[in-house]
Amino acid sequence: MNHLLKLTALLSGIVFGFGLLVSGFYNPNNVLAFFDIFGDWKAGLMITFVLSILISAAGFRFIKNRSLSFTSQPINLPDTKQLDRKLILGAALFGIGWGLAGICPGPGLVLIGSLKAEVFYFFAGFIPGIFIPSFLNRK
Amino acid sequence: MEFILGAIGIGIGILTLIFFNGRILGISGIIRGFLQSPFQENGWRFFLIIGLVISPILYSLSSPLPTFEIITSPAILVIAGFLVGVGASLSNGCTSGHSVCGVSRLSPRSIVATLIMMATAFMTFNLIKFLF
Repeated sequence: MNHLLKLTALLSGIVFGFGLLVSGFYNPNNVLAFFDIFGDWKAGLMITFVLSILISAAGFRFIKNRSLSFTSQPINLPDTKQLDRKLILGAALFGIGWGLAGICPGPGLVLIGSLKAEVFYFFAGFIPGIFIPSFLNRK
Repeated sequence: MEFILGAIGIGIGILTLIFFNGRILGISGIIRGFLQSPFQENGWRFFLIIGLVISPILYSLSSPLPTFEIITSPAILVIAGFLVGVGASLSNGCTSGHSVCGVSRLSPRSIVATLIMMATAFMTFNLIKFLF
């Protein structure tokens, strides 16, 4: 069982990565062209975005009433409903960073394997960044 | 066609993780969890990250990856990465966790987060394009 869960996590990463590769989502230039609504707008990623939501929605619906996965693992679904300041501020900061470079964390990992050395600059900012909120909270 | 095939890959990747491991595929949370405690809970986070990193290598065995340049300067890349990291951590999710998984589950938090992320990203890009 232990090994099966490692394998499914690995496969999930590979297939998700293929999706980012095939759609071109991993290429920051395509993401920036998707943001360029007043210029030479490339809206194709919207198709990927909407369709991946629909596919996921069908799957999440399918497991809605289950508490255990196919491998008897507890299903961990966040159920926080509260819309707080942290959510709004966080989403805004995320959007600014995403708009600057066209890179978000999943495509960032794919870019590492694509041997794009520049992506290490992104992670040099990202990794300290993800620990800052909990660090400030501790004080 | 590539946009549709890509969505199928993204969707199947997400559903594999929830159907078998019972986990939401949210990359920023997975990276944070991995860095805090790399091999806890079977090390699923480690294996998922490895899968994503090797995906372009496996993909290039069948068809060549397109060549492109990352045009953003190193300093801006560090700042962008920092903002994405702080933001994903504060709002507890990023493009994968909020915008795909969360929106597909109709989570109000994720829908709000996605609208704000998209709006600020579009504004930032266009503001910079306008200014420079």
